[in-house]
Amino acid sequence: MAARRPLRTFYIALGIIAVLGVFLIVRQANDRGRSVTETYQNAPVTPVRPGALGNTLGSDSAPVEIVEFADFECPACARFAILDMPYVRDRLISTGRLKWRFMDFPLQGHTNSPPAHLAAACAGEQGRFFEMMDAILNRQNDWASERRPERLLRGYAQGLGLDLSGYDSCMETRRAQPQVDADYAEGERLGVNQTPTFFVNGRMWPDVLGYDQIKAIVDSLAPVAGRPAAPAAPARR
Amino acid sequence: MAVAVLALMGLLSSVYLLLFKLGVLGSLVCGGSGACERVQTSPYAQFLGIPVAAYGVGGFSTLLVVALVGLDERWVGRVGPSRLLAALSGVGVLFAAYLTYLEIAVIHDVCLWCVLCALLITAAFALSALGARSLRPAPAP
Repeated sequence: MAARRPLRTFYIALGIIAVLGVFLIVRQANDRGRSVTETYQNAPVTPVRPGALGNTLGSDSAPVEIVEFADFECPACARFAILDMPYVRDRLISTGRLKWRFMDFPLQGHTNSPPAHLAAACAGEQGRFFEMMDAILNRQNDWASERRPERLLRGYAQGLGLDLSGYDSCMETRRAQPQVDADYAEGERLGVNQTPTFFVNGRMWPDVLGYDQIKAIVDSLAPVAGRPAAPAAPARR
Repeated sequence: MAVAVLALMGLLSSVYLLLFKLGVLGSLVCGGSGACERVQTSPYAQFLGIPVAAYGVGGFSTLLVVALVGLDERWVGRVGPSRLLAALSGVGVLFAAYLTYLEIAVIHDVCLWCVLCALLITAAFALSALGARSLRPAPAP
């Protein structure tokens, strides 16, 4: 009987560790969801001008649209594209819950960004903007430090199997540059001054978003049928 | 007892990593470096098509069950559970060594949660091996 008592104490201690661990994990998931809803409700509304600006992924009928202003030489933009965007595409965009609009915003002082954005826009002429963007952001460390990044960028276009004559003529004539400039002008109009900057259904997000926050936003604004909704967010002001 | 505690801690850590891999948690608490996410989103975070964290959940769960069963009166003082724990955790140590090698030499990022799991399985192996050794029947004179 005396031997059972320490064992019972041990089981209780083990149970406490288990409950504590589960509590910490659940709290991390819940806290992020709650703060996301509050942030959304408090974010200023500055609607992106409707039109054909930017490059989009996902269905036009998706209940949530996120607009991202990004600079290809910005490390945080590359980090988001590499770490979070694959999950966003697989789990939210491809399931019709989210539409994504990417807007070029090459920052002043990033000398290699302009040709990189032009290269992606030229790939966009062939319907391959996002593949080129991925190639550019995944290899940011390579081309961003080059004196002349055009050769590497052309290599990425070649690797994607683009029509190189069309790509080359686009780069030489800069005929896709007006698209980049229009995105940038829209960002300036909206008060974008850093990258990445996100707009969620027209509300400027005050911080960098991650997949968990984006999922919480989508769950909050467009709950999946059969699952309880998070606290409802108000409609656009 | 100590092995059960180590196995439970390893199980919780593995569940945490698996929840991230499944998209339930979008980011990991990792000292702000992002290294954990880079490791967990790399192609090496899967083994034979299954998330590596799932192996951790399975392995640490098995260790926990065996360790708890070994505390039962029927098994106290017998070498069987300790040997089984040593064998199971030994396989875990080899797997953890392979994963740590990938982190350092291939991915060039070290995930703190993975290191924690590796340390826990190594400690569980050491304790189990010592337990099996101390319980080994004395050789006949």
